[in-house]
Amino acid sequence: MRVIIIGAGKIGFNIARILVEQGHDIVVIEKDDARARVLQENLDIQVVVGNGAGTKVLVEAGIGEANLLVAVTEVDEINMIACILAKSYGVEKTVARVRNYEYVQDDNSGKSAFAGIDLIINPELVTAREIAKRIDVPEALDVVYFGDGNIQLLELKIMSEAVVAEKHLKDLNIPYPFIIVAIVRAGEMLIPHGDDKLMANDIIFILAKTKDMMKIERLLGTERKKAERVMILGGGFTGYHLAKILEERRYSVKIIEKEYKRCMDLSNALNNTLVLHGDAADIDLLKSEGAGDADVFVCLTDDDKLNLLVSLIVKHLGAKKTIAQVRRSDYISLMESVGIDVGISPRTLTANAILRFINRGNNVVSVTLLSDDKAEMMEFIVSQQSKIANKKLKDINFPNGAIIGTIYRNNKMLIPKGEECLKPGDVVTVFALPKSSSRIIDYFVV
Amino acid sequence: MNYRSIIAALGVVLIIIGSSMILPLLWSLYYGDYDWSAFLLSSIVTMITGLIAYKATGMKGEFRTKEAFAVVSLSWIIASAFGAAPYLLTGTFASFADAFFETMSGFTTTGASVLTDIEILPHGILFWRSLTHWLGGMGIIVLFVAVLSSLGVCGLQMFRAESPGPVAEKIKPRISATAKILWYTYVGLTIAETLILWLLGMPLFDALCHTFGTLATGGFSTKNASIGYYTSPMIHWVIIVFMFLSGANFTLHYLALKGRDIKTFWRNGEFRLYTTITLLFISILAGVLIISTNQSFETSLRQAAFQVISIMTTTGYATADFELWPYLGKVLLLMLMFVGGCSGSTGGSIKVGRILILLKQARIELQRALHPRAILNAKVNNKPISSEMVMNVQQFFFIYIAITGASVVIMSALGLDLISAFTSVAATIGNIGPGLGKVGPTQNYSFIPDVGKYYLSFLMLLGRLELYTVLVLFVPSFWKK
Repeated sequence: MRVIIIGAGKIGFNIARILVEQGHDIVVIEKDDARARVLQENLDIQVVVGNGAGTKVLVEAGIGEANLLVAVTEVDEINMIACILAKSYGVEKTVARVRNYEYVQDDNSGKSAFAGIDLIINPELVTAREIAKRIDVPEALDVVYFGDGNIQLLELKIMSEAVVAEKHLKDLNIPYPFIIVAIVRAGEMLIPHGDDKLMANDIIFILAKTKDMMKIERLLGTERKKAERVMILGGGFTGYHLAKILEERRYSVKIIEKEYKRCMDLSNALNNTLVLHGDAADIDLLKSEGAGDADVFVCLTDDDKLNLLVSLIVKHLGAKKTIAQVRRSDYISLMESVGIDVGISPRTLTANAILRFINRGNNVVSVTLLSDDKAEMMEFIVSQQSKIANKKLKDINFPNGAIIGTIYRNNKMLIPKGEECLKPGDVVTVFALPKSSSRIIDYFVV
Repeated sequence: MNYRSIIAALGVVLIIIGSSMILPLLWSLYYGDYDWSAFLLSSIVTMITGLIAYKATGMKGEFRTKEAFAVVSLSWIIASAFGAAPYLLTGTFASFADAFFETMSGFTTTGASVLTDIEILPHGILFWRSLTHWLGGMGIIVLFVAVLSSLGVCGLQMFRAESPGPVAEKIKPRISATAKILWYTYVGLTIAETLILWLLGMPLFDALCHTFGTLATGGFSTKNASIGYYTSPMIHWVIIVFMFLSGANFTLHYLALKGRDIKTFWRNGEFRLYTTITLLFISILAGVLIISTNQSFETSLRQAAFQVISIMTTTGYATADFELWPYLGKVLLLMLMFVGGCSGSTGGSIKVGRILILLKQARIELQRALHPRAILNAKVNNKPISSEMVMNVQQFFFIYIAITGASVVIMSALGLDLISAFTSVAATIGNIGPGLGKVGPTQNYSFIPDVGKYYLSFLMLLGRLELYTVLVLFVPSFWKK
């Protein structure tokens, strides 16, 4: 498949990298010379320098032969124009990132500038939904679902007082099927074996049935009471969407916004949310509104530094969990190390959402970037022609840095052992470090 | 430095070289020559060495620009070392220096020979000489990248380190697809020329060997008198046309064929300059020949066109002994030795693309002197050239001239006269082949001492890989961690 990606920012780069690994032909259009060179040096793709909303540039990028166009520049209008142009060249699927909510709103008139666009991805909405997932499972640093929601991947931190700390993995006495696919210890990610020990402060990635997960967590000592009180800082689009989702799920939500007019709008649009007008860094306001009692405190301003600062303050006041939006995703691991529980990068989430759409109906069901792009979780359907089909797992020379997590067969989840055979139709989740992800794809994709 | 991967990649190169030795073996058997066993032995030894190197190491771990430079430079050296085996085993040469020189000259498409009598050689050796041209013309690494499609970015790095010209263009998003297309175009043109020459009465064997020499802009012939052996003007014209095509960018051939649009060529600034220089020199030289000799107009024009295009595209075939021409004619050819083919062609030397950038920048500098506050930038094909590119080209030009100068000193220290020393250096670093004086079109390089032969082989490699790829290996920090 020939894919044209417009905009080589973080989103564009990650999508390009993953799609080229899957064997697609990628052309990236980027207006900045220096950035174009970075891509040229690092990926086996073609890079065209120019504005992706111009026909001349699109033709140079081979729009006539393209099957998919992904427009993810910073500018909504360029993305929209590019997609509409692409349709007129006969591109089958188009994806546009559109940030301005006014473009996306549906007034039920059936008239929209998006008539031709197959997926409009709104990073704010995507981010709000992802944060809501993490609030639903407050102890998890990350939550991903597979197999139509029946399988759950959680990123969890092992507490120092947990009974499982210092135990070998093979000695864990848990009567439910589960698998720990990775352990992050002191910033290093490793794929564990039965002989490895769990240590306090480890971060683990664990896969299990969604319905068993609570019980497993209880035995691991990572469970936590369901969150009730949520406070949101920043009433932008993300804050609004998040409040809307949470109030529907019957959380008690407070939202702090510094612009009076915006507060009025929010107050009109939200029903059960308390809208507070005030400055983010006003400690008195935070104290008097009970930020310290919040189960989850979410910082969603556009300023990374402010998000970090406020998260630290409310953590100090006693908030149980803090989630901060981070634009520069390189900072996430640093921020998480100083006490913020979860750093959320809207760009990584957007890339994930687009990849899910692209891979639909393909052998690759989904690819999700984890832990600030340091690992990937892939979901494949095994086909008759897959290299891996009908072979015992122990006979497959699976690359280092990758592990098969679960097999989903006939609506049942299995944790595979070496004797297990992969059959056509199985849905398999694979955890992989970036260096091995391209080789993993060869095993499944024909 | 990732030595494992480097050795593995070199192993693959040896496997390619070893398997290509089967072709001369087949010709040898077909003609019933005595030397077939030499090819069988060389092929087996080369392939087995390659296999062992590849199997014992394997491409693993990081592979970056550094490794790419090392692989590309080293692979040309080991290809020449192993490619010399057939010459030694058949007894064509007694010394390794001669055999290595001849092979390096073949792979780098130089066409400088140390053989005095070519026509007494068996068919297998003649074919192997021409085949080294053909493999080296489009590039051993480009072939490697085309064959191994899973290389990804490391393929891209190696492709860039080998491909000629200031910019390596990608026709397809994937580097292996690009490499494949270049090879298909190359093979297509090879078939076309072979057929035409064959139809014009050249025996198939000679037609194939000469096609290899033309397409790769090499210059090895199967005849002592080079193309001059053939008296048919048509054969000369056909080779003139194909030499000219081989000196042009192969990407353009592909695009023109694909779009069925001949104007593709003319829209390319480099191709326009290439044509202009060619026509200009042909007309001056033809004029000189018409005045100074009593040949017919057609003969003069044909000889001028053949020699100009042969030298400019760095092929090195000859239909006339230009040693006997007036001084002006010789000097014109000498100047052309520093022009070369287009970027992305099989030609060597400085390349028209770089000359174009230098000319444009020269004009800019003059304009800047007149209008000190003007903001100016050079453009090629209506696209601005970055100042880094301009710097790169200017430095290339300087290093090229500086190395030529220093090498002339070395060659004269080995006892060559000024003309022979100068042209032997220009003809090897520019991958041309014949020079003037003692290394003229009817002479050869056999009289040069062994040290000189190794040195000239090194110059051929420098020229073929366009200086930087080889020279970075001599920067001490290159080998450090």
